[in-house]
Amino acid sequence: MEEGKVQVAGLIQEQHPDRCRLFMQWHQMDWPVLVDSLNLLGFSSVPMTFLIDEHGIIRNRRARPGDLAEFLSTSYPAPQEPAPPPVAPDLDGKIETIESSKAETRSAADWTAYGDWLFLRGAEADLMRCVEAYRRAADGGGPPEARFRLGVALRRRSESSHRQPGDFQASIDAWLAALDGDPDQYIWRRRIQQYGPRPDKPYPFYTWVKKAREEITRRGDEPSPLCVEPSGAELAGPGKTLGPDGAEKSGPDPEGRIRRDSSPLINLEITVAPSTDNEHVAARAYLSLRPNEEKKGHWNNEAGDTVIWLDPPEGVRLDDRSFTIPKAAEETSTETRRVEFEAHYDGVAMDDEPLMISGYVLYYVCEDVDGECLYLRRDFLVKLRPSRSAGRRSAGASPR
Amino acid sequence: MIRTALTSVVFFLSIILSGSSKAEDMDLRVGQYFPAIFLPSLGGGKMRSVSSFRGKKLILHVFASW
Repeated sequence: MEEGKVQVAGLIQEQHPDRCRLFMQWHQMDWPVLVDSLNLLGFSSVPMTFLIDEHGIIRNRRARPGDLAEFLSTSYPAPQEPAPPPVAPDLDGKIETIESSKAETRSAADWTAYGDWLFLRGAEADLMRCVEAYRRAADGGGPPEARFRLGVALRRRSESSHRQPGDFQASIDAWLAALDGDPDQYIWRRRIQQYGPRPDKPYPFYTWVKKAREEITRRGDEPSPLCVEPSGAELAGPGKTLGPDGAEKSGPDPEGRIRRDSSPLINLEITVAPSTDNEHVAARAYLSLRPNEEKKGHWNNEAGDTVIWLDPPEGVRLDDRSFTIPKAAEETSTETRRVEFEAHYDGVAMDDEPLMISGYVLYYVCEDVDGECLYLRRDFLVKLRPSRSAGRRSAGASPR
Repeated sequence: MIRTALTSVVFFLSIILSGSSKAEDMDLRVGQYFPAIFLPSLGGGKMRSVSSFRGKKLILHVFASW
């Protein structure tokens, strides 16, 4: 490869670009990378390697090692048609026109373009309007792409200071709706499988992160930080087996004698990510427990851990029926406590009624820093809805 | 830089040869200009288009870290 004659660049299809930054650092690759989290270019698979000549013309879109030498040694003629000028990020003034128009006059395409522009600006403060724009596009008969991008924006908002209750579940639902419209879109499918159950995973998504950090540190460098650490689902590999169903176990409060958190001092949010096809009848559930800021709820770490107990219906197998979230080190704290688990329900009677996994959480919490400290119970339902529709399973969840 | 670029090219092409290629993309055909839309750069800073690489041959890897 003759120096100066060729350049290398990347284009990533990823919800969290910061993870790619760590990946590049690990492999010591320093070429420029563009970020297409919204899948604007419509790629339905990765990886692909394009060979593009000096005029900007695609000469190969699935390059093999043997193609490189020919590409580098070929002198490509200037194309007869001039290159179209690049479109400015504000679509050459179109965004200004959209913003100044009345909301009810905007088309689904207008709303999608507006959502794209707001997302690409990268400001967290724009995420509220961005989500609203994509919702309008999706509700206004927009293409599946609008639903996919809605999911991307919702997921990003769920990880930001502008998080709204239910954002994570809404992102999963938006991606599932998008996939319904284009089942062959593997980039969209992977976005769901990243958070979904093990039987539906093609491979583990982010198990390389630990090794990358170790090797970078050994080199004497500081690993590039991640905005959001990969969750259990993103580290889990493909698999179909689960632990014993624990039918013989009894829960910590079988008679329901612990006082209920009716205030609530702790907000409970549940998200369910199902399999993306009919072959794997499974789902991954996420429970998030957040102290209620309005009620000044605090975890009481002088007492004990947080315990979750699950009571699945017949035929539904879980990772386990009991989960423990250890208390924090300090006396009181307000961190979000999370647990994930999988439910496999292959062979359960298929009808339109949802399957319900009932459960409850037991926790030690205080009302305000100097307030009364209590041991409370919060009941919930995890809703699994098997479907016969090809390529799609839907699910929902609700805390009681 | 050349050694880094060559190493990375071999790395990515080996991934392709390992059989992970999947469904066809529909819009980007040989003989067409690569679309010139602006996207954020991984390192931050101004948005950039693939068209900004014109003037030299380009090896463009479309990938994800998973």
